[in-house]
Amino acid sequence: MKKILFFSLVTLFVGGLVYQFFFNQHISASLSVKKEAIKEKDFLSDKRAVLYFSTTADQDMDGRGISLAVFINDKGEADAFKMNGLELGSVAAGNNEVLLVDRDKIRLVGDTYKEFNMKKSQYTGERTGYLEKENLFFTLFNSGFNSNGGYDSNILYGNEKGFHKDNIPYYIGTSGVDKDEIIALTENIEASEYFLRKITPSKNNMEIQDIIQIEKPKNSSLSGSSPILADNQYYYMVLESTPENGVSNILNSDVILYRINKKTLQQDEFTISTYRNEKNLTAHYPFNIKNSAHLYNDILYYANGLGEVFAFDTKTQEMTKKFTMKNVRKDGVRFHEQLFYKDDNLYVVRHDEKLKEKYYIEHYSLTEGKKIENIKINGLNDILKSIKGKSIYSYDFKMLK
Amino acid sequence: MKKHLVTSVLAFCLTAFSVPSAFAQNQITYKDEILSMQPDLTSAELLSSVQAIAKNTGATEDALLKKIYEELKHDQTKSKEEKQQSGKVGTMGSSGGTVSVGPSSKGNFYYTASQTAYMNHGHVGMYYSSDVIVESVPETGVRTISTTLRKVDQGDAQVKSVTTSSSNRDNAANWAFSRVGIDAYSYNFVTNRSTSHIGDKNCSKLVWSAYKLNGNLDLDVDGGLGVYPRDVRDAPGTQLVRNI
Repeated sequence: MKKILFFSLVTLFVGGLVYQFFFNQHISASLSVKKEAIKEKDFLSDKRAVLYFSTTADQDMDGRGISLAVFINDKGEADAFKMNGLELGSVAAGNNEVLLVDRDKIRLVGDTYKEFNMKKSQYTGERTGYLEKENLFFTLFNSGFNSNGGYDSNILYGNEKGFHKDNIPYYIGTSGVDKDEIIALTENIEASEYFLRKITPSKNNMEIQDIIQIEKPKNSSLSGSSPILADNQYYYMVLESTPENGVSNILNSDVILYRINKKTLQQDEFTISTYRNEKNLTAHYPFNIKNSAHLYNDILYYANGLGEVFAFDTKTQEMTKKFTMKNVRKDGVRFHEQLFYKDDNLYVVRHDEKLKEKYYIEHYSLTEGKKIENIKINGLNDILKSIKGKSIYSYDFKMLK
Repeated sequence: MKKHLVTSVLAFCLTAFSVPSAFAQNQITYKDEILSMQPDLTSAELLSSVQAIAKNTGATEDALLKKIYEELKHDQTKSKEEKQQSGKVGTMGSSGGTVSVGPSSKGNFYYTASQTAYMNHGHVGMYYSSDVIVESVPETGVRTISTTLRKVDQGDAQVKSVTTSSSNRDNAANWAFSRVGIDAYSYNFVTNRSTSHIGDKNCSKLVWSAYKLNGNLDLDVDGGLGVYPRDVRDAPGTQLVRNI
């Protein structure tokens, strides 16, 4: 009897240790946002930035996928708010409000805290955003194939009064916001065709309008490398053209800025970079393709994963390499690097294994083309290290001030 | 005193660590073991598939359950060994390097480790085009995702090609693509070799069926009753394109 009891205890103890070290996803209280705290009206008042991390959809087989919204306060301290998983999830910022989305729930944090349960769970995000004129947040999902063989990209849009659900019946390659419209590059994958479309959500309904089919090089496929941007005259997006077949362990590709005139629908292409016999196939991929480009003072900026920041003058059509970030890995391996533009500023989340805190933010001036400062982050590495038994990836970053 | 100590330690262990289950070998049947390793698979689903296989093959249900259990254990052992070899015993993917899957040719597939609370099955997805992956994921069923956006842990993943004609590769990818809207996700890995090609399927069954029907290739390294993602990855007739 004693032997059985002893054996059971040892088993329990060892099992407990294994669980604690390998599978526990508990984040210490000092690094967690308390559930009550996030509901407070002034929660965002001392928050300078937010990062979004999630597990991938395949890890949700056990229903234990997680995502984290990591808020960084004015002192540089990181606190995590844990949610259910949503691969490629993101955070939208509006007027003193932030939209957080996970697999099952939408949360509005800030002036008024509100939670909305989604009727159907979602496992892959596409984009979140805020449409100021209509005061609407939206969250767009890559929902997958439907039972008729068509493709669904579900969208929820609304505000503190409630959210409407609708569907965009296409697979979306990349997307962006133009004032109060969502612009999407949809793909007919079988036919290898690409269409630019305009989605206009309003308080009670949503319209989808075709803009134009995008011309592509023969026998090539296009993939989004940037969000879709717009000024008064044009839509802009960076796309990578790769051969439809014959990609093995080397890559030939062209990274191209596509420009579409809103009135005439004329399409123009401007080459940003060309890769031939490239062995590091993914090294040039932006840290986050959803945040990789920005328009400011008639200049379109595009930052790739090699740390190169290109500038396209929309008036003169001149493309230049504005500057290059230092110490960026050239092998495509990432350590949660992210980027975010605001006016003349580029903020980049960087990782340095040699530093005690590992993660920090670099702040660049776009017009001057140089670094202004490093912004410290304390505690992010401890938060990420505490996630065990799952692999978690960074999908978004926003400066809130 | 002894009693107190024992009770305290027991209570501590139970509350502090919340161990899902303790395995007392003599009390647990193969069926229970299988279901504890595959908690999303229902007992009814397991038993009905075992009964169907028993009827078709003449094997006893107990023998089939034992075989399923052995395959699961084998996959689990493989997973642990790989984790040890890669130095990621603590499954610290969250603080390690990550990489985008990146482009490859139509019909190729990628493999990545995929951790769940109960075991690491791994995961496979197929290239429908050079920059779009088609894959079956829980709940969603099948989705497409850009190879730029799909992230995996560095060192845990690879892209492989299938040694067959280019028409078989194209047809396999087309078939996978044609089925994906119709077939929902299945949590049944353990007998998925004998379930219908047409119907619910998981990630490894999708790739396996695609090549079984297009080129009559059996992308399963060890046969048996279930085809797991690692079985597809290690199948004869597949070639490493690149490590991710």
